[in-house]
Amino acid sequence: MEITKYPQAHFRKDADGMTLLGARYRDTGALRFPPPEFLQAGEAAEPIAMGAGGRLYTFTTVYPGKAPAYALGMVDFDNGLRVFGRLAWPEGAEPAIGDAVCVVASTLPDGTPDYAFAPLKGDAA
Amino acid sequence: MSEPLITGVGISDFGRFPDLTEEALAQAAILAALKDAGVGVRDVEAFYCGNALGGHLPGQRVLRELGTGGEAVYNIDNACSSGATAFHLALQALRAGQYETVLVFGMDHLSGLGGGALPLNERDWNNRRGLVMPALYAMRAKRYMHEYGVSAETLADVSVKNRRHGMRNPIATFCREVTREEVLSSRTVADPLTLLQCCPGVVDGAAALVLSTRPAQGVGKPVRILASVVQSGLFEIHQVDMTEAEITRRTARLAYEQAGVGPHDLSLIELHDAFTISELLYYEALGLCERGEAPRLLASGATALGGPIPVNASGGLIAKGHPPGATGVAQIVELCEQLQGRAGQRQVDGARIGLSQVTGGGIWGVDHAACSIHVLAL
Repeated sequence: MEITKYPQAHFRKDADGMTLLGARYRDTGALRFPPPEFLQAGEAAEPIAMGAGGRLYTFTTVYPGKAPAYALGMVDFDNGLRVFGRLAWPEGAEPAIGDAVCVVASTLPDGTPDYAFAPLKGDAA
Repeated sequence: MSEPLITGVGISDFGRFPDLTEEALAQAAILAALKDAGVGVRDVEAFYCGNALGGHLPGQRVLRELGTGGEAVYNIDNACSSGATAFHLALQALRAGQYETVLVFGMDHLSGLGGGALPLNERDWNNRRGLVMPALYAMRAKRYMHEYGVSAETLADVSVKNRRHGMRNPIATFCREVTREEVLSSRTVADPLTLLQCCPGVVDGAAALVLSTRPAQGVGKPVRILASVVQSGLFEIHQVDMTEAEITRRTARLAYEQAGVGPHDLSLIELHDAFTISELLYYEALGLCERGEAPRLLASGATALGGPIPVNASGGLIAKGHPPGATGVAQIVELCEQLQGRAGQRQVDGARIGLSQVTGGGIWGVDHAACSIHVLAL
C-alpha cells in the first residue's frame, strides 16, 4: 500500500491574521476543505488559501444543559466550498443568515489550536 | 420459491427502563414475534440484529438464553438505520433461497448512556467542533424557515400532532399530549429547536419480526414487501441546499420504482421524525408535496390521523422515542399492524400500502450516512 499523511495544516496564522487552507488535488484540480488526512496511491495535493472570509449560510446556538452554550454555523466561500465551524460573535450580537464572516483563531475543547468564524467588522447586528 | 412475507411481529414497550437491559427488551419483542408468527425459535434458520450503541455481539447476547440451535447471527450497525438495514439483508437472504425463515430484531437501551444527544464519532471533523444531531437539524430548520418564511409555530405543530398520535399507542409510555405553547416554551436545545421538538434522548425499546417463505401460520395476515431499499450518503463538500433531503429523495425514488407505486398510492407513512423539521423535509423528499409546501400540508390536517395520508400514526420517534437499533424494525411493525387492522385506537381506516423511512448517522461530508425505505402491503 502507499499511504502518505497530508503534511499541511488546515489554517495559517500570520501577520495578516487567520487564513483557512483547503487542498487542491494536482491531477483533477478538485478543491476540498478540510484537507485530506491521508493521500492514497500517489495522490498529490497542495494547500490553497480559502480566501478572506465567506457568508453565513445557516447557524444555530446549542444549549447543552449543564455546559455553556456555543454557536455553530455553515459558511460559504467564494471558491464554492462550505465550511462548518464554531461562531465567535461579540456578546449581545446575533448572527444572521447572509452575514459576511472572517476567520479567527480558536481552540478545540481539548486545547488544540483551531479556527472559528466572526462577523466582519461592522457587520454584527 | 415463495415470496418472502412478514408472518409475525412483536414490539416491547418504548420508555425509560433503567432496571432492564437491551437484551431483556429484545427477548420480549422476539418472543412476541415468534408467538404472533406461530413458530418456535428452532424454526428460525438465521437471526439479523440491528443495534447501534450496545457494543460487541448484541445479537448473541440477546439470543443465548432463548434456546436457539446455534444458527447464524448477523449483527448490523448502520446507526439509526441499523434495524431497517438488518431487515433488508434478511430479505435478500430469503430471496436468494439461503433461508426459509429468519428473525429480524433491533434494540437499544439509552438509559445506560447518561442522556443528551446520541453519541457520535469523536474523530469526525464536524463532531470535534461541537456538532450534534440536534444542531445539524437546527441549522436545517433555520435555513428552511429563512427560505420559506416558516414560523416556529409550524415546527411545533409537528410535535403536537405526533404526540397526539402517540397517546393512542400503548407502547409509547414516555408520551404525553402537549400544546403548541408548551412545545415552544420548553427549553431550547439548539435554536430554533426546543426540547419538545426533539425525540426523547433517553428511551429504551426493541422490536422484532419473522420473515418467511413458508406457509404462514400466524395470527395476522402475512404482509408483503413491495420495496426494500438501503442507500448511503454522497460525499458533498460544496454549497448544497440543506433544506433538500437528498438521500431520502433518492432512496424514495428507488423504492417507488421497485414497488410500482407512487406517493399518492400510500395509505400511511412512518418516517424519521427525530426532530420536527425532519418531518417537514421528508414530506417533500418523499413526494407528498412540492418544495416549501410541507407547512401547508401539515396545516391542512392531511398527515394527521383521519387525513388522507397519516404520517407517524404510531407517534413517530417524537412520541415513542428513538432507540436507534430498534426504530427501523419498529416502523415496519407499525405498518404491519396497520395493514392488518390491528392498530387499535390509532388504526388508519382502509390502510392498504404503507411506507417506512429511516435515516442514519451524522458524519461530515454527507447529508446522512444511511437511509432505508420499505413499502409494504397485504
